[in-house]
Amino acid sequence: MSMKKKYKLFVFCVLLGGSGLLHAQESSAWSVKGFVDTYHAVRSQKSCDFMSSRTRVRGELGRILGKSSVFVSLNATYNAILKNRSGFELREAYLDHSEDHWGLRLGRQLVIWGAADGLRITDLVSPMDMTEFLAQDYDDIRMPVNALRFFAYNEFVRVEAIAVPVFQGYVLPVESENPWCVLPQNLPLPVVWKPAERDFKLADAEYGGRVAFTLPGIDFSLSGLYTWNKMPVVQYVPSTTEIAASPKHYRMGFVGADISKPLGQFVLRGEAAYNIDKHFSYKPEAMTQPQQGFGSLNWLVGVDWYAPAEWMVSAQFSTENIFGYKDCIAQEKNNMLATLHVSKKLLNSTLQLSDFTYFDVSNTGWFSRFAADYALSDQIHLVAGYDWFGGDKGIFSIYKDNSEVWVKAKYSF
Amino acid sequence: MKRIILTSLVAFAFTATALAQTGREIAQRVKDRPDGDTRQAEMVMKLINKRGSVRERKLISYSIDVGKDKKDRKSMMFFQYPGDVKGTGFLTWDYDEIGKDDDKWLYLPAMKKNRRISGSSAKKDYFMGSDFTYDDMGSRNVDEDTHELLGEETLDGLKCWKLQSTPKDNRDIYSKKIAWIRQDCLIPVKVEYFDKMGNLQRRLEMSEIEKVDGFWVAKKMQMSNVQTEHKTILEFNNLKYNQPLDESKFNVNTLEKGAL
Repeated sequence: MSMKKKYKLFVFCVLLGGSGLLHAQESSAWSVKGFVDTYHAVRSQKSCDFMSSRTRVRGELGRILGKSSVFVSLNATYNAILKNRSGFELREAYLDHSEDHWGLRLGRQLVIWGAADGLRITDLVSPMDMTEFLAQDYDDIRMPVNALRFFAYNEFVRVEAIAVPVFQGYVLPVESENPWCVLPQNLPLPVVWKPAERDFKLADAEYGGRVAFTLPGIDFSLSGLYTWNKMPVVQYVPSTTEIAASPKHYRMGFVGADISKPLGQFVLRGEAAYNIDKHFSYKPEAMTQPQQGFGSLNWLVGVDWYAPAEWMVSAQFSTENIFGYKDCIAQEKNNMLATLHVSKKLLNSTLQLSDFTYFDVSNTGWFSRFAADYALSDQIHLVAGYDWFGGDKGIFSIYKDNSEVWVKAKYSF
Repeated sequence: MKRIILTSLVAFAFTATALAQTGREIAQRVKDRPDGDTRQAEMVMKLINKRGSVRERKLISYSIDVGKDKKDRKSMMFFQYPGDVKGTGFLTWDYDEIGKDDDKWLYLPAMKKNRRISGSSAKKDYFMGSDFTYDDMGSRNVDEDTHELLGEETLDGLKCWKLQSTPKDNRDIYSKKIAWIRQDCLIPVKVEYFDKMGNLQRRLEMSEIEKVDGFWVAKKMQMSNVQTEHKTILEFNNLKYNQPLDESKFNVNTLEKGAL
């Protein structure tokens, strides 16, 4: 074990153990919570190889001192398939201060905007970890960012200003041993991922704001952000020995809005963003064409039905329309995506059956995640499920051989 | 003879009307039982299945009466235990007006997101796997039910009114309920809920009734589902009434913070 890893282990143990001691003494306001989970997935077709096998400890420490508080969240993971994903990770670490009508939150944190579920319209601050594509819990996919946030609020309105000094893009599966690898396989030359070195300048910082209204009978917000397209545009440059895959990120902005309106047993949701100067990946035959930015309108409508007998049904439809579309763009001019989430609780809420399906309307592809979650005790949940991919075109078709059976056990403390 | 019959009919009709009015009046008196303008408590909820296996939930709750004549109520609940739900919070703006849906938000710490949820359907659903519905735990306008006074009975040596309440909305999960209401403190010590077939489904028993800060309160509630043999025991500790709480704090920012 390297000195760096030993040091991380030491810090992790001190934070968990030390805080636990303080908690046990009951004289401190430190709180400790977290979980241990283990997740294993096997491909259900052809080779039946393991797609994932990982175990993780999550520790969350918090302390409130008057109007100020601190929160730290850490992961210690052993990943048997992707060895470089084993190790310690500082997930969140921020300080928070709240006065009667203003507050601030500074540090590494999750930032969640908008009213959409599992889709990103205005929720463009936190990037995504696509190491296992969408085949993991959504709160594991969303990544924290180093952000400085200032809030002003009263009972009904919250104004937020945010700055992210150093931009962070999506984590993409690019290792050849990863079954979710996005790089082209089985080519005559090896494809090598070659991200460019970046300077971190003040001019590269992200900044923006959001005004959210929480009123009787309706919630809505307006938002704007000068940011980066966190999904890189990838260019493939062949040489005599390899094909270099060069990801490049481009600046973009957006102005957007979202709304939630309860109506009896239903909640209607809507969200829209006008993206300014957004860059898209080109088709392989158009790689040599110069990149340019486009305007696009990304919008979503959704409805949640809080049905009797602990049924819950949620449906969403979203589309992105690219203005001034050119044929060289790999994405369709109007890219349509729908989701359906159905869940039912049984046995006094100890068993939950659920399914979340993404359906690529434009390309007739799908990803459906079914899960059966049983609470064995207050602390232990046993979960089993099936991820089903299908389609001949589009993002989900890439993974049509990745349908998998999975099991998970989670102990919360 | 005709006159006697007529007089008897008029007297019967008058008595029936008086009893019907009395039923509603009692229900109104129970609803209006003084409980301060604000209240806070630590709650322990034990969910016990028919094999005797116990699951436990711990919550902190706050509420404040607001609006015209303080008939509306804002409340917040934060889960403290077990670990997987710790930090989960509910914010409710509960309106007394019939037909006006409550405003309700849920905060899930794993998602770090406040979510607007339906204010109407959840009222008739069971609360977090317990045998209490959201409606059982909140307040309900008296005129959402038709009340009938069935008479008086003595329970444990204490005089009670026996009141039958029938929901006007057939979407309610019970067809009627019968409550035994202690006349000295206006607390229903026993309530029986009947399903749509008219069979007894759930029985609520309230105990450890005492005065706290000058207000009558039942510190223990047990709801038993006699059909599934599942039961929920709710115990209230550290009850406080009329403590100064700021109405403006009952908002989604506080919900996200996890503490009032």
